[in-house]
Amino acid sequence: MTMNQDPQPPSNLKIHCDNASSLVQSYMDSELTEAQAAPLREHFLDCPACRELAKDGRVLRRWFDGAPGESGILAPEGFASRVARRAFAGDPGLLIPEPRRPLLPFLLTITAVAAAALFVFSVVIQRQAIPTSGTMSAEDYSPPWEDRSAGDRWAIDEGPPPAYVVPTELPPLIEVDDPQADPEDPKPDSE
Amino acid sequence: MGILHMQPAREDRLLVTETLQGNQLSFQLLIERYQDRLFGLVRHYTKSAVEIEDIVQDTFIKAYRKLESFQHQSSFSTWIYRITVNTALDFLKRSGRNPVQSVEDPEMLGSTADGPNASGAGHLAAPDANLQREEIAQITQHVLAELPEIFRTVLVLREFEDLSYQEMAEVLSISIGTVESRLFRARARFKDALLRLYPEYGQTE
Repeated sequence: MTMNQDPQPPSNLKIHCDNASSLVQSYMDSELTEAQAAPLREHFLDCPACRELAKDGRVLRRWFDGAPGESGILAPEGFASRVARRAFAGDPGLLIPEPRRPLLPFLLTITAVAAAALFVFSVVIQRQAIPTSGTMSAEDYSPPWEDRSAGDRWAIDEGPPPAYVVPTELPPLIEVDDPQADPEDPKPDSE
Repeated sequence: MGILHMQPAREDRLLVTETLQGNQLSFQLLIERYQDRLFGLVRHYTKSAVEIEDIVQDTFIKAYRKLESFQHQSSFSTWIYRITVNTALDFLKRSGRNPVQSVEDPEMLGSTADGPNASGAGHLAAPDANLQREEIAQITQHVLAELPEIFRTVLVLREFEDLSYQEMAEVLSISIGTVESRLFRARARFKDALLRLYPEYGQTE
C-alpha cells in the first residue's frame, strides 16, 4: 500500500508490514477507529519491526510534547480593537501585494519577437542572395549589396565607362595590293 | 442565550453573521478568540515579533474582506488557519525566505522513502529528563527551522495546533492521503535533522 492511498483498512483485513507503516502513524495520531486499530494492535504482537516503528513515533511525540507554545508571544494589548477598526475603515492590509507588472512574461515576449524578426530578416537576406536561375553557372556571383557595378563608379568619378559594343557589321576586308591587277578593270566573271 | 454559553462553532457563526451586519465589536471579539493561537502559529514562520504581528493583522484584515465568501462549510477556525498559513507563506516568499523556492520539491524526493526504516538514520532517543522544557523547545524549534516549509507546516499544524487530518486537509487544500504522506515524510525529516544537528540524542543500540 502506498502512502497516498487510504490507510484505513477494513477491520477484517489482516495487516502486513507492507501496509503497517502508514497505519502506525494514523494509529499514533488517533486517526483510526477502534475497528481499524484492533487488527493493528494484533499485528504489533507478532511484529517487532512495527512495534519498533510505533515506539519511534512515541519518542518523536515527546519532543513536541516537551516543546510547548512560547507563552511570551501573545497578541499585544489592544490588538483586536485596532485591527477591527482598521478592517472596518477599509484598510487593504499591510502585506497585500500590489499588482505588479509581470516582468518575466514581458521579457520572454520581447525576446521571442526579436528572435522571430531576426529569423525572418535572415531568411529574406538569404533568399535575395541566392541566384534565381535554375541553371548552373560558373560565373562569379556577388550579392546585391556588393558594388559590382563598375559603371556606377565610373559614372561618378570619370564619366561613362567604356562601353563594349557588339559589332553588327564585319569590318572591311584588308585588301592586298596586286601589282598586275588593273584597278579600272573589274575581274571577269568566272564562266 | 448569551454568547459565552454557546458552543465555539456557534459562537463563531454568530460573530461572523453580526460582523457581516456591520457590528465592529463582533469582529473584535472574533479576533480576540483567535489572535493568540494565530500568533503562536505564525511564530513558526518568523521570529520577528513585528513581522508576526503584521502577518496576523493582515490575516484578519483579509478575513474581513473575504468574510462574505465564507460559507460555513468548514469551521471558522479552519478557515482562518488557512488564511494565516497562506499569508505567512506569501510573506516568506516575497521576502525571499521560502525554502521551497530554492530547493527541489521535497515531496518528489525519495530520500525519505516510505517504510519502517524510512529515515535510515538510526533511532532517536527521547528528550533527556534533565532538559528543561525551554531547552527542548529551543532544540525542536531549531530543527523545525531546518525543514522545508512544506514539512514544517504539517508538523506545526499537527503537533502544536493539534489539528486532525481532515482539518489539515482543509487548511492546506490537499487530500487526506497527501496529509498522511506529507506528515510521514515530515516526521522522518525531523528525526533525521535532529540526529544530524544533535547527534547526542541518537540512541545507541
